[in-house]
Amino acid sequence: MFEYCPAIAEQVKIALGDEAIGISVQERLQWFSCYFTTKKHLSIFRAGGVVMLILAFTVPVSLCLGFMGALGKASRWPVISQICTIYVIMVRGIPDIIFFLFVPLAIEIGIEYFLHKAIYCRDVVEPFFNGVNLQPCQEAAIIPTQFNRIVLAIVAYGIVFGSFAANIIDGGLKAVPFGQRETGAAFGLSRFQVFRDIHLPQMWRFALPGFSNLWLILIKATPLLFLLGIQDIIYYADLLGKMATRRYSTYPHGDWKLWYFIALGVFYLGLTMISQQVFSRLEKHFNKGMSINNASSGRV
Amino acid sequence: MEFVNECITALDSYAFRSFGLGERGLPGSTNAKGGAPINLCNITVLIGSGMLRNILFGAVALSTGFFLALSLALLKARDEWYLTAPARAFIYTFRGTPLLIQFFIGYLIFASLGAGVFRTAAYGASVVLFFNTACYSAEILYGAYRAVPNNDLEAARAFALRPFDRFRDITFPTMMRLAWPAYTNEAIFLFHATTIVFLGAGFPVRRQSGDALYYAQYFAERTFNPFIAYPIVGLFFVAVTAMLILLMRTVQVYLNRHLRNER
Repeated sequence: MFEYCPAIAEQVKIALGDEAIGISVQERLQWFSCYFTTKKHLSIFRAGGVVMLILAFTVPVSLCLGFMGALGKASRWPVISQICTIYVIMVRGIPDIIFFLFVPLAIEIGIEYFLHKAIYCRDVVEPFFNGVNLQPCQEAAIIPTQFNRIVLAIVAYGIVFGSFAANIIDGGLKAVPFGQRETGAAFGLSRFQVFRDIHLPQMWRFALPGFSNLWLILIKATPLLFLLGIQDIIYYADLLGKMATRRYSTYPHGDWKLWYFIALGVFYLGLTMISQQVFSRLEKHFNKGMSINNASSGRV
Repeated sequence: MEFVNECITALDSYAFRSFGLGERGLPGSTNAKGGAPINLCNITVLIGSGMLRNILFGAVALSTGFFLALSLALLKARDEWYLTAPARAFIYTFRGTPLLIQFFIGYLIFASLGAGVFRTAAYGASVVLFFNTACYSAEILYGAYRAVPNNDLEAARAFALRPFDRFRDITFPTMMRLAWPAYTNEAIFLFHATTIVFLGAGFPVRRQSGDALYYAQYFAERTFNPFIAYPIVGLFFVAVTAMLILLMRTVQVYLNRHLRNER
């Protein structure tokens, strides 16, 4: 695509150092257009796509878990309702990052344990749990690939944000006036019909501000993927922003990390801005036909 | 009895390890000097010592950030556009970007300024947390400011209170009362956010003096066993969060003491 790039790179190699004074604007632009389309740079854009993909997968997973938690909390069986209650209040007490670190590791070890016990090392005498140390045998030890890490991260995010979502859904379900449900029952609707046609649709209306908030929190939690060993945009920003010397790179430059991270900040700011617009539209949509207008937006 | 002795030794050597005091080598470290075994006592004491750091981060950022938050909120509530615009932009920037990226940018800025002490996690991260919580709290306080009932202010004007007295006696107490539940949430979130400071937010860790999660991760990596260290750190956080909620509840009861129903 940019065949003329190496030549320019050769020419402007020294460009952005101290010797850059005589370089024209056009040549600089060309240099940058080459610089931003190197293989390495394309991978940061791809990493941005992966982040979006993780977001797209996390939302349905956490919504499912959220519904299960919220409905389970109201369950008639005490065991289920207690487990779900713990799940719902869990993230209020424990920082999400601990789950992000713990859950993938726990799942990985669970699989290792299964492989160790059931498949590979049935005749190994040494125990799997040895005091505080864990030791799977050689064949059962897993080294997670990037793809596996991403899948595990989605599970971890799903669990944490499912808990947040359960909290919101629970609040939304409780906010629907009881009279509405009573009316439904008086009309001879079954419990399920009341839930599906009366309770649930109104829940969305009350839960939407909470979901909007949660979505923004989720977006702002994606950089933590970096801490899980996933090669995300932060990883690449860190890598690409490092000082590149003439010896190892066709595009030498100084330490540009700050600019890279500012660019990431702008990226997230843009994402937040767009989300807010979308949610304000959604709010209008869900409040359509409601007699109480803007009751929740406070006095002015 | 042996267990108790072990724990006393652990307390003795690691109770303030997160601040660089006590035994140098962490349990299970492979340097020449280190060599204390990894056991439950050591894990708990060390994580608890890191917890002190989290609490300190949270307390410092929250208590100093409140004043900036109040100023920002009042600026944002003004009528002059040249006062509101900067406040709005500032708040929006910090609320719209992830904390981890703010840490990275903060570190790089401090590093490029050559600001000695602020290049360490203890000071630099505190500054970033200060700005971050100030902006989140400012938004909360701003919302509360706008929700102060107009009647109260009219009454105050009718009593010929001067603007400052009106703020001190009417607006501010009402604002705090309305903002407090949301502010409690913000305090919890901030406290939980302090855990990422030492995890790779750019700031270098000196002499392995980190926070609770740093030590938990250390043990999890050292023993390949996440099932002991992470639950312990989780329980620590549950306990401290519960205490924080209790504390904030007490303040809320105090703020609402004249109201019968809203306690």
